[in-house]
Amino acid sequence: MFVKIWQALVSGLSVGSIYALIAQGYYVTYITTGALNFGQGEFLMIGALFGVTCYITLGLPYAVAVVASVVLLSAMGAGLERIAIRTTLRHALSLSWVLSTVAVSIIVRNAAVQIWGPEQVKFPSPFGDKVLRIGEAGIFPQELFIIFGSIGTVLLVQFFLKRAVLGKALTAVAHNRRAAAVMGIDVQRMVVLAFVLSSALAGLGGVLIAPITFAWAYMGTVPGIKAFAAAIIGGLENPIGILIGGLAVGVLEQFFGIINSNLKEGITFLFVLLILAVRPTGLMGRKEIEKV
Amino acid sequence: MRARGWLQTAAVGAFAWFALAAAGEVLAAEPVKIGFSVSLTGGTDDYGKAAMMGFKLALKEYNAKGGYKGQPVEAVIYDDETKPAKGVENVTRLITRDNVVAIVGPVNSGVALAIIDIAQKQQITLMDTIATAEDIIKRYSKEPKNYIFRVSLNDGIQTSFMIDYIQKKGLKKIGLMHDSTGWGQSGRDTALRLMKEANIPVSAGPEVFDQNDTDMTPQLTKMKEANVDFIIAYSLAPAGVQIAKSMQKIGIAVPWTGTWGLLAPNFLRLGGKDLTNGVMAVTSYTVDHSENAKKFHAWVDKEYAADGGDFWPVATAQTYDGTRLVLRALDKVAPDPARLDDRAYMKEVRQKMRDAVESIDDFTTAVTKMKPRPFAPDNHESLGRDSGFLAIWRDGKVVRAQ
Repeated sequence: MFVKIWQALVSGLSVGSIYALIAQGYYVTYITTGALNFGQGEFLMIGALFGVTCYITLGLPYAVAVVASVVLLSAMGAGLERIAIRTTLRHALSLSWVLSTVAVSIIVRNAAVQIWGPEQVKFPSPFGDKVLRIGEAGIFPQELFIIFGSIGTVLLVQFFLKRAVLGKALTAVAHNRRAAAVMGIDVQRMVVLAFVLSSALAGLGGVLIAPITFAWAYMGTVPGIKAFAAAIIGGLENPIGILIGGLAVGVLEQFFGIINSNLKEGITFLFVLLILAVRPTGLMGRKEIEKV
Repeated sequence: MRARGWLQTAAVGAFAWFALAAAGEVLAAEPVKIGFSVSLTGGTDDYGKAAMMGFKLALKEYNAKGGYKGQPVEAVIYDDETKPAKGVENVTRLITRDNVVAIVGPVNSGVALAIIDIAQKQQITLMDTIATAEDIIKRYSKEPKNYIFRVSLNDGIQTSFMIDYIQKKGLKKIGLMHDSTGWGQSGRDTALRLMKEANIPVSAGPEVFDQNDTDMTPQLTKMKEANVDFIIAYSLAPAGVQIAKSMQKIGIAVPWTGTWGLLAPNFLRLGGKDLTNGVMAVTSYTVDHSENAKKFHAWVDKEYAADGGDFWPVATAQTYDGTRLVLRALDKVAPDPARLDDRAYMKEVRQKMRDAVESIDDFTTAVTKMKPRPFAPDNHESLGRDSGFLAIWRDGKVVRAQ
């Protein structure tokens, strides 16, 4: 029994850390603009497929492929902000960004099918396929890399937001747009930065998981949705909550897979409904105080 | 004035165009059309693409010999995107708008189970050359006239080869797993039924997994705890690779098998030689099992050299034979091409096509292992217990399992 739980924990952490990484992207744009990119999953997919092009087709080193994907996705993030966000956020209460980001995600997916085809592509792990043992549990080196890479990146982003000047400016915009503008911060640029950062995280997620999931045009939808669920569970405005939420979703799925494999897929969303009913701001979200 | 002159010219032109078009229709009889609806995109697109090669070659060969009454038979090809709803749309369109005499397809069992109702109701022959769910043929087998035919080993027959193997090797503890698609669930039911009949208990499972799952350790851990010595998995190739990987992860190294989906080319492409080594699957066809098969394999390789040659031989060969059976039936029915627009006449032609397919008894040129009389009123499965065997992956090649 212990081995089973230990294996589920190890496997769950590697899946969950990717959810956490994508969800961090939702967080960054949500706090700055109140909007988020519902195409995060598709952006992740582009990261993975572009990684294939760099790493396999062009034969570049894995590190270069990672950087190239992150750069490409950063550019796509800036583009997304320009065409799908800036135009729709002009009106204060507008929800059009939901539709426009979904539209972009569909376009991106279809474009990917045109460019890379609908087939799964093998992305050999640069760390090899030899199973490592942590106690009794087995894990692929790539999965270990995913766990450390994702959690490390999430912490790095937090460090950037709290310590770096640019990050502080972004955080200031998140707290109070008008005050930040008065202080001489270029709000528009910070919004672009938020989307660049968010998309870059998705791109990184893509190159990280491709060796485990294969790379293909339809790979992003499910992780995108589950990461969103993780963000809701953890609390969209709490980065640490999101990290824990992501890991929790990954581990929960594996645990319920042990109890009954029929529960594995549905359990996350059941959990979301439960959280929304009991704590609408998420497990670790701040309670909103309404003044009457 | 000028505007009016222009209008007049346009009116005369339009009239002339309509008149010509109408005349053209009277002069040239409408070509006979055969429908083809398979997955060219989506989960089972490899099968669809390979099937299309077989379909096109059969038509090409037929038309090269003069076609039907001197006119080439036309193909109407649609992609069902591996979606049942799209498959229903395609078949409805083929029947009502494109006016085809028979339909070849689909490749996905989930899609097939959704469209056989229309084919049966509209009384049009549906030649399934890939999809394996038992119910595709069974559902209407008690009707006076079943319009569905198959050139593929159904899941029951495939599973029976696995059970033969289990009994021959004296394996005692069997694990069962399946994907959550319609096909996976029907496979599970088939396996449970046949294992019960053979008195083999299921020691672990049935465990379900999503076809896009990347980690099957929870399901496989249960197999490991139950100490299974053999696993049957209804899985397509991509999930099959994940099963093999997860088995490595938790350190369970028992032989396991699936249906012919695990012989698909992407199993080797995604899994590589080491991972696929020792994985078993049922098949009905190898490229060198007969002279006909050898010749056909060389022909496909040559015709489709640019598209990777005969990349999925089973799918291509079965569809080639299935399409040729439909064309042979067309020759037997010999409808009048000029009257195909007449709905009542077309209905009659389609009914006769079905009867003709059922009664073909001189099909000696098959590339698959089917008899000269592939079908009978009480049997719409052309491939049976004598046409298949359990194969195993060895160093990237498929060989017969001993």
